[in-house]
Amino acid sequence: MAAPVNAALVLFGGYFLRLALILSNYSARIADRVELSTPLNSWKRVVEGHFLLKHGINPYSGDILHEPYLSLKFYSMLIYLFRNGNALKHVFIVMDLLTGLILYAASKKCVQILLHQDRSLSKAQSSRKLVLTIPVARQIPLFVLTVYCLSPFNILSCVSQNTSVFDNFLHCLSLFAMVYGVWPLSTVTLALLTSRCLHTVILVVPAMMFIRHRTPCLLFISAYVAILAQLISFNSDSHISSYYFQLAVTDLTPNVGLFWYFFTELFEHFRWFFLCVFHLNVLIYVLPLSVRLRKDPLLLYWSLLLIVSVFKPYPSLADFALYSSLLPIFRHLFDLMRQVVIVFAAIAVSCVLAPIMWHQWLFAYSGNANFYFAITLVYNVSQVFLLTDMLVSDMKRKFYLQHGDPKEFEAKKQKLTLE
Amino acid sequence: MGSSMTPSAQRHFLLSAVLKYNSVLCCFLYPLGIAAFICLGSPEVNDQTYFSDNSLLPGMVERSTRIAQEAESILGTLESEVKSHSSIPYAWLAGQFRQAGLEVYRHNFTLAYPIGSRQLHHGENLFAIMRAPRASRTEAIVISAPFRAATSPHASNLASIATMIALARQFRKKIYWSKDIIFVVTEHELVGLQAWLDAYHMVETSPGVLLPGSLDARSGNILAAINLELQDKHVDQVNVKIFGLNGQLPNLDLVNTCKNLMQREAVPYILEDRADPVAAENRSLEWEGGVMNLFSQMTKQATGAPSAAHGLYHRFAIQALTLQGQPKVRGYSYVTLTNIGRVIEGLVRSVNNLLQRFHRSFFYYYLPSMDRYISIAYYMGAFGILISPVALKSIALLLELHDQQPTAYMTLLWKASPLVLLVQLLGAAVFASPVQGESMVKSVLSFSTRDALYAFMIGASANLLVLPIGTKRAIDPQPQRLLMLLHYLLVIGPLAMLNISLAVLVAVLTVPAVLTAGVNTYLPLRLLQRIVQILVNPFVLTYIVLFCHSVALDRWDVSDPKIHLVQAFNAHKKLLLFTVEDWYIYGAANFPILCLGFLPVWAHMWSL
Repeated sequence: MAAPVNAALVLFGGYFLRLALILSNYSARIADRVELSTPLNSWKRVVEGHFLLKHGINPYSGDILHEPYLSLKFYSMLIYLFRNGNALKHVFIVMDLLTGLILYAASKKCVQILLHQDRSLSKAQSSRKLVLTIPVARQIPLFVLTVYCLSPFNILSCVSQNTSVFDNFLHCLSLFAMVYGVWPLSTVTLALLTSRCLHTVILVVPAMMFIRHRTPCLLFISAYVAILAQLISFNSDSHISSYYFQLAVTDLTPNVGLFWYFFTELFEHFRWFFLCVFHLNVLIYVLPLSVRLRKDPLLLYWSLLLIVSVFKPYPSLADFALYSSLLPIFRHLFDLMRQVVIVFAAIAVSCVLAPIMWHQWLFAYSGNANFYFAITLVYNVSQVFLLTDMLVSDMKRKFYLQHGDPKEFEAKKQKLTLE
Repeated sequence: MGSSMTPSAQRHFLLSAVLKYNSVLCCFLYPLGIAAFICLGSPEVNDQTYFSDNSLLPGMVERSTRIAQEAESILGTLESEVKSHSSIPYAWLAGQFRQAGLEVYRHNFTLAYPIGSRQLHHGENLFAIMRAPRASRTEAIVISAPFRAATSPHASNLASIATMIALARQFRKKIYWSKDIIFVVTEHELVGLQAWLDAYHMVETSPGVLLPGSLDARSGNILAAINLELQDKHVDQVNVKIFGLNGQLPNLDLVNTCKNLMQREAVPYILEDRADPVAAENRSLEWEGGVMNLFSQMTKQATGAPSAAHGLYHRFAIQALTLQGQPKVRGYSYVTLTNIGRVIEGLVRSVNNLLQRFHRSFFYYYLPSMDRYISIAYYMGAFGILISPVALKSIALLLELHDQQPTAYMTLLWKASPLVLLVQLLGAAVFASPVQGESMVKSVLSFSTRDALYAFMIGASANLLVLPIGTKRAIDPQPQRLLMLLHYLLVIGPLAMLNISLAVLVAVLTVPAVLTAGVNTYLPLRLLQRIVQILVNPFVLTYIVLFCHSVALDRWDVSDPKIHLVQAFNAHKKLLLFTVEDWYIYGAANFPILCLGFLPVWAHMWSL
């Protein structure tokens, strides 16, 4: 088959593009973009932390490093091992492409799950058009790999060498473990992820739904809690600067998220109240979504990934890059989606305008913070649009599969209305 | 918005109207957009300027200096001093400033010319700081003047330097300064000032190209700067220049203050080479003048080049303008340096009054006359109308596509998208390689740097011409056309935020071509389509503009078109060289806009 050849070509293309950019003069400029490097994932801060650690100074005593201790140790090891020339840059690229490959493998299983789901759902006569066919499904993993390797968002976030590359790796590994049913692996990866970004705790819900049976489920959750507790209690110095920092949002450097603007404008005595409200946003959608999507943990996983990306305090484009690479898996929903053109046009516009507004605000001084915030707002609203559009089309499709599409209803002299 | 994709029966009536009448609307809205811009020139539509920041108080500052005699005698000495120097007479100048009681420093910089053999040029600026007696040294005002040797192609600027020295002596005697005043004399025109600003702010705008060195002393935050280009001791009129790098403008309050002071001192002024329209009984005459000024400002701003050295300050968030004193314009009346000096004194004192940075007022405006401004709220509306045909057409195309292929339209769009990435990558390749390309051409042919760069750029973008041959079969025309329109909007929309004039001019010239591209018609019409597309190619279009400019300079005499063709060709080569140079040295955005915006969109359109 041509699929392995194509996959190799795509990987090679991805490697070449990343290498060309990471070795060019632009890599430093790219790494300095706030859209890519946040206080939580910037490599510059890690290097600083490594330096302090090496010289026996507590890296958490200042306000520079916000990575948990274990991650810092890991990066220190990487920096030490690959200290020659550009070796470290290659590590980032290889790591990113490896993530793509794991995603490729995971999406193969995802497609099988979806095919199985369709078979059990499809009851109506006219649903035949909507059912995912095997030849279409077979192309999907390659699409996923292509998007992951060649999407500009992924390329840029890899070139900026932020530690989200490792986050994405763990995310993909956990998805891989979930869909293949290797729950011990997914426990470890999810615990690692949560120890790095607390908001990813909600991904435990789809992971449990993938397991389904009660005993492994309990084992999974207890193992998760145990490992997480172990990871978090590893070094108490880092608690304030990595976990309190994430929850109290003490650094209001602009990023693509919603927190910074709101909390710079806020009166101080409302701060804790609104912090709770903002953090609640991540949690509040978990229950309704998991009830609604109890039979479709894959879509639930994707939705929660998107919600984390919108509502966490320090998001970067790497988060968007990750879940947008998973989009081809839901190819069967595309034709029912209504706003996807608008969403992607809005995201493209915000990507072009963000650096311009940034320049107008901070360099040229001819704009102000509202300029940049307007763009991040567009970006986040379009993400939410994408989510709702996806969920609505999924509901619609499931309904059509069971009861037939509007044309069939017309034939039966019935009418579909949305009340 | 949910209804945007429902079957035609349930569609919102507005969307149905767009689908049905979009072509008519396009034909109507495009001229309407142009008409809207013409209307904006009318005093009925635009607004009277006003002061937003009342702490400037230009009417309250006392202007007491009388520097004409002093400055003229300094100028005499300076002129004789310069005859024996090829560069700035540092020792003499330093002595003058030091005598006045200022701290004097020198500043070395190096320019490694970015293209070709990377020749090194050295230069040295001189600056003097007058420390504020009334406050800490946290804020500053700059008065700068480029030094021009007798061999310079530009008019002499010694009168500005003499004025600076005379003013420094007078300012020193006053006790009310709460901001440091820095006097800067720069070498090599813009390069010297860029190097000084880089060194002052400890940044490198163009690493490896302009090596700014370091300053021995600095002051605080620079609030405003006045750049002087007084060509003689007798000035007939002052040309106020405001356009900065990438078309950026200073805060309107600063321009207003300047205008207000010039009126008070009875100094005749013009703005960017054009006089204010006369406020006559006949309103249409005033309107016509306003429109002509607006058009002239647009063409100047669209080039993205600073109209004088003040333009480099803007990027560092320093509000700045240039006062260019033009002698012998009218030949019967002139003002002396006393009046000019008082205008500068008033400006500096007004800024001295400021309690905070300029942040109110407008940063985005047009000035059809010095008294009237067009705010961004008005011209963005007009611009919106101008490009709305493209938006409407793309909505209509999307609806059409959805109606025709309700189950597969997303797949079609998805399959069409790689071409966008391809043309964008080609543009990025051109963007990344002018230096290498130039040396490549040079290694084969014995061209000068200018010609080699030109040959490379034209050759590289000529490759785009053959793009349709490769992609024709893989292209589904309808979704591709939709993507092309969106691609166009994606370039032109954000460009309006960066440089509105460029966006407007490009939109006026290209919207018809973009709208008609990809429409299936008869062969002769299709041929016409292709010709129009060739005409709006960025390189061809700039060439045509230069040709028209050359003909216009010759009073529209086209009896010998060959001269103009050659002239325009040479100018075109120079323009391209400057565009690339400005990107490498000053970070001017036109080259990236060309390579990452215009060229890809054009290639996209051409491949339809």
